[in-house]
Amino acid sequence: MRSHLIWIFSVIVVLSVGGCAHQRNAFDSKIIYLHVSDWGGASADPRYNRIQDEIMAEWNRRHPNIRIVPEHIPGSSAYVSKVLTEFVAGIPPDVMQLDDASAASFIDNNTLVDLTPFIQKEHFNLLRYYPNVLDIARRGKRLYALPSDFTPMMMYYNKKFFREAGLHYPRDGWTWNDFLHDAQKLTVWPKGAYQPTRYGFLAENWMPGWIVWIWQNGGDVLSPNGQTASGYMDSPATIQAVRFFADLEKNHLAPNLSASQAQGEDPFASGLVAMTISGHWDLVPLRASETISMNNVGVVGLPQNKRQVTVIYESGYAITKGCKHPHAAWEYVKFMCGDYVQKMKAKLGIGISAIKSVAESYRNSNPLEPEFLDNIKYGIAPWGTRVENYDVIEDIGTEMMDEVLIGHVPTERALKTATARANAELESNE
Amino acid sequence: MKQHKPNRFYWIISIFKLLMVLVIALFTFAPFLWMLIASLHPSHGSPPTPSHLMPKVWHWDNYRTVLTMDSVPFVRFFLNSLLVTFFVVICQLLLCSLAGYGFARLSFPGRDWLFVLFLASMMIPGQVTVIPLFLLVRSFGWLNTYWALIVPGISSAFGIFLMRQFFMTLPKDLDDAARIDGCNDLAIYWRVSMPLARPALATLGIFAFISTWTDFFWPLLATTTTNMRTLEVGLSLFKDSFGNTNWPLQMAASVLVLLPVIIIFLLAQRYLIQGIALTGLKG
Amino acid sequence: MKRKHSKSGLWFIFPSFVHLSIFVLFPIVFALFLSLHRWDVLKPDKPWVGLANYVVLFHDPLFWNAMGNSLYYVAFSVPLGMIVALGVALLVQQNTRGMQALRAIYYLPAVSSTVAISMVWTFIYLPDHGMIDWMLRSMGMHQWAHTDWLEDPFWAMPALIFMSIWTGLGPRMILYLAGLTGIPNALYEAAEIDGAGYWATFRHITLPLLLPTTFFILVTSSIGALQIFTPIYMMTKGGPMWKTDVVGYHIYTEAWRQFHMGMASAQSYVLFLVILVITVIQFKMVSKGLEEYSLQ
Repeated sequence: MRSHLIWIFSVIVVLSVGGCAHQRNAFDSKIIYLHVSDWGGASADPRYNRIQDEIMAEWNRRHPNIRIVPEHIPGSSAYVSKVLTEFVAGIPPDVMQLDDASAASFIDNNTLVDLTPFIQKEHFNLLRYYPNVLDIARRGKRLYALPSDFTPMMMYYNKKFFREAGLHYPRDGWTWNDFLHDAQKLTVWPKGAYQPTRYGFLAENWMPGWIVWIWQNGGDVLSPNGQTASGYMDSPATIQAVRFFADLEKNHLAPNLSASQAQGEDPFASGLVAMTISGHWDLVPLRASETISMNNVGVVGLPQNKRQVTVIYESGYAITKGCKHPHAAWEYVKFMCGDYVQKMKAKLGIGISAIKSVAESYRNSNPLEPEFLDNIKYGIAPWGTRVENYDVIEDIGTEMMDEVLIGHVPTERALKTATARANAELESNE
Repeated sequence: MKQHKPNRFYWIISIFKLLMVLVIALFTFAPFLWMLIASLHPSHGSPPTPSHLMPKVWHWDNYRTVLTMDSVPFVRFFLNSLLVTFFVVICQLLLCSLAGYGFARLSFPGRDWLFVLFLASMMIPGQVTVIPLFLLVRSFGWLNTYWALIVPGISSAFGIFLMRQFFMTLPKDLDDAARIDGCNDLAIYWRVSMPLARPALATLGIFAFISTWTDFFWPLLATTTTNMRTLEVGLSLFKDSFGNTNWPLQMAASVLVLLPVIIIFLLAQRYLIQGIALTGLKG
Repeated sequence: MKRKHSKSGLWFIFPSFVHLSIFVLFPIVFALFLSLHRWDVLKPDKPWVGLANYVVLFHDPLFWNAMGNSLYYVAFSVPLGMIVALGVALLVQQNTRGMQALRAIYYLPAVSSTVAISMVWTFIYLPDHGMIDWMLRSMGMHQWAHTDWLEDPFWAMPALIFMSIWTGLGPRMILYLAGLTGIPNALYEAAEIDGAGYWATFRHITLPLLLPTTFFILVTSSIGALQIFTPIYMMTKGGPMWKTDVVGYHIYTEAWRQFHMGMASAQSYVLFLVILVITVIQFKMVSKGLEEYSLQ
């Protein structure tokens, strides 16, 4: 029996070594290989996969000598630590997708190449991009990434449920009070049921999702220079906003669904909730959804209390230091942030193109697009564009929200603890 | 207990025992079964739920979907795991049996002191050594290569201990007879002791196989690109681009990862169990 | 025939010793060196800070929270796992073919990929779609249904402990079986002649004679449980509310998410110390137990 095992082993090992050797042969000619890290992943959506394939085919047509070796890392927090580990390991990718929420961790650790020389040499036109989106990766005169696509966070609502509840659809400029009123009316709790069968809103513990409520209330989590949380994360405006948000769940207007992401079923698509805050990317799974019709999906700017504001999540492409083929990498960055790919991505609906003309040309591609475009002006970039290791602060915030939502810790105390933790984190970055 | 003489409760107790044993077996096996069944549910729409246990249509195509996704090349992961495990097992069989033989059958200055050093190294938590190990392997330029995955595992204190325990049980007369015939230590080790050590080597082999095949922490840190991942790490990356989990596909991938180890285990469980008895009892 | 010292033995040990020195002994010393620095790998300067890392971590509530979580995990998962394993070992003692097949099934979780196991248990623990939730509902226990076991600050750790009993069953059972076969039959026969019942036999013969086995399992399981990482990484990421943030995972985040390698090394040394202390305590306890029984 043992000899059989060894025999099987040997055959397979020989095969696998052969397989590797075969791959190595392909590396000989003058073809340049570019390693690219992005946060794609396995997708079961055939349309998504087809468009990705088309983009790759077009690239190979335009640049037959430059092959892309992609490294997909799913999940945004896994992405940051994994790519940082690649830098630590001394084997970084040549080109990386740079998220605004973690941009500072890369830019301020001196891992990226300044793109200005390329731009000046080619007189590359930067004016085509939305200036507030372009500036995300700017440090003084240096620019560390070209923007690809972005989205303001928006309120998605189920039109059918609004009609059934006899409510008007929400309109830009609506207030927290309007929102609360609607959420109450939209929640359906049949007599004798253990819990509501439908909720007004989806309140998740995830900090990138709820930080906007603090901003809407005129508060913030960090000081303007980003160096301390004291006086901001524990300020009255912040406490009030967190309390307002947490009360939605405590008053059963939002389900207790901190793990809803892990369930693989979108509670908005399945009709469990009538409203949720999300980005443009959600249009992709919603279109593919069998449980909700796009005719019933509405999008509106976020409700405000003291100021109308939303957060912009963006991703761009950057060249890393140590990239052996910067010119090839620059070609790839230009390609990914240029018209062709931007149009393909707009077609897919994953985000809004950072190129103004492309974004505007899709304004009438679907009835929801104008809402997104008109809310760009309210958008501000997340702290992660300027504060290193901000994803750790976001973890602290997420755990804080857990303490409030399920740990029954008083809001004020939870925020105070979180402030101390955030400060410790900010200090350790210096 | 079998020593008790049968009394009138004997049958009742026996049946009760049997029932208990089967219930526990079901409890142990149920997660695997559920994994398999869930992997055959449709990958679109609502995730599988136990209240609709069996899928209406058996979606064997989930397995094809998993195997053909180019962002998670499972075939490549499988070959990586195989290559790494193969070399680690071969090296451990050689190095651990050499050292185990040395500790058990030869005497030399500082032997006991050295043996304690090896044993004590098993007490060190992996967390202590992994950061320096990472920096060390980085300075060799080995990160994200097979070297990083293989070389740190080619010898193990546990394997040495296991082989020593085995060689201690072999009668000394054999060595002496061979020595009179003019064999040196190495020849005795290779020609006399190793052939007798087959069961122990099989045990060490299966231990090394399972621990390397299912290792997660080190391959997670030591590899950075998709094409160098092992199965275990590859499986942990199995999320869609939004970080969500598609349960039927996830379960199908898990079944694929589990299958080889389970087959090997079922073929070789005898040796594994012997090994546990050997190291556990005489430790 | 007397054997004299020979140097050739050293050559047998040599390859393994070189390997041990490079990949274990050197890292141990290097880790100590790291722990005395502010060693942020992404930053160019890595200043010597003396014991500052230890001082900071001594006052770090999140680190001690993690240590507490680890001790909680060990205190339940190890004894419970051992009791279950001993019970199962007593049940499957007979060496029939059927029992051997059952033992293989019990052993299966221990050889399985931890990542796959963690994923299937995450699935089992889901609210609404999960196996546990469905079982509770079909038993009419609706007050327990819809619990998100892994996201509940009280239940997350018990859920992980429950899973660990399941994964650890096989090896512990095999060790106990080996221990049971080592007990001479004559002792049981003598007990039977004395008219001792099942319980008395178990208490006065089986348990004391299994003490070395119990000690071995206790020590190795505790060392293993104090370092648990993969299930936490896959299932809870230390949440909710840091209730499952065990030391092994905490050190990982310190080292590989924040890249504070110096601090992480200091933490790992403290963990090492804790493991050492716990092992010594267990050793003392068991040798005392052995003395008491040997007096009988």
